[in-house]
Amino acid sequence: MSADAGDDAGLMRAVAEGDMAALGELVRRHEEKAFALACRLLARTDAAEDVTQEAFLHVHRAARRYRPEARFTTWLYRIVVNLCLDAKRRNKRAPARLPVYRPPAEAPPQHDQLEAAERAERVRQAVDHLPGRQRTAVVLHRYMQLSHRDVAEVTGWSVSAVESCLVRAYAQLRQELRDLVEK
Amino acid sequence: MPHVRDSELIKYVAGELPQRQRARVDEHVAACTYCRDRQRQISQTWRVLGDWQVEPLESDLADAVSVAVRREREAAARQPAGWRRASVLLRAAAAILVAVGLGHLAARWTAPLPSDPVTGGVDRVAQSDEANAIPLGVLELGSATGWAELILNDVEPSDQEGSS
Repeated sequence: MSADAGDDAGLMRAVAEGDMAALGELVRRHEEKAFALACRLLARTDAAEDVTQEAFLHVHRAARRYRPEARFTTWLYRIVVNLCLDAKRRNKRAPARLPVYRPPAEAPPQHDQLEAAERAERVRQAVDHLPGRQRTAVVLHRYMQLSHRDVAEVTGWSVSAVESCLVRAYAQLRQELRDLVEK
Repeated sequence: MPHVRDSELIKYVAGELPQRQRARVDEHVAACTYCRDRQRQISQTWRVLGDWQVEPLESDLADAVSVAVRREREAAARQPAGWRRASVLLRAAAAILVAVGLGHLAARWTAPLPSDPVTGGVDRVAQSDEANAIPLGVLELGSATGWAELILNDVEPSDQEGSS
């Protein structure tokens, strides 16, 4: 277990004893990645923010039962993934677009920036078109930088199921983004 | 030499392979056009996917979580201990009622219909109706054996023999 992971376990012990500052520290450490994960799985910023907050509330509620058998992030990402699946089921009828990130610019957007935004939107759509399990696997693997084994731990699927999901997902993405891939 | 599997190429591109396996894939890809082409495609897909960045969170999440935790605690404190205990008991009672109800329904669906003519309600009524429908009156006119009279008049055979 890495030093950071060890620190997370220590913070979780403190949270279990009611230390709110420790909870704040855990949130600050992991909010960015947890939010990015929720954003990519839900493709909705508002819902992603709610899910991220709810995930940390879960962390607080479960702090006394928490056993540091796996990395804290594995456990946190599992919570986020499950909450996203719930949110997706609830909001099936009201899909909303996730605004594409555009770096703050004082000058009007240049051609390069517009092109980058268009590329980002194409990629977002391609990932969003993947079937649910494949999308979860790709987001965890490509964007959260988790290994196949870690993806399996977060999702609860077997490593071979994760591998098969990833092979199919990357093949579909390659097909859908063919013009960008071959540029 | 067997080709490199897709899942292994994905691990290779993601930098997940241990040094020895990585060297083996390097060696194979250098010699195999088919695998080199697949590896290149996966690498390019991987790179293109990196173009999707999400906006960073703007609000102070730590603060929002802290407020939400405080609200939860206050809500829990407002609930009297007796009420909390009662709600647990109510939930347990509701669970028992549901279980009994389900058991009752299951028993109704799975139990066979009563068929015993003595104890079974439905068949008994049916048999009684059928018995009543038999026209025993026709036997009153005198049967060939004389047994009908005995039955209908409730007369002992010995009585009848004695009187004849």
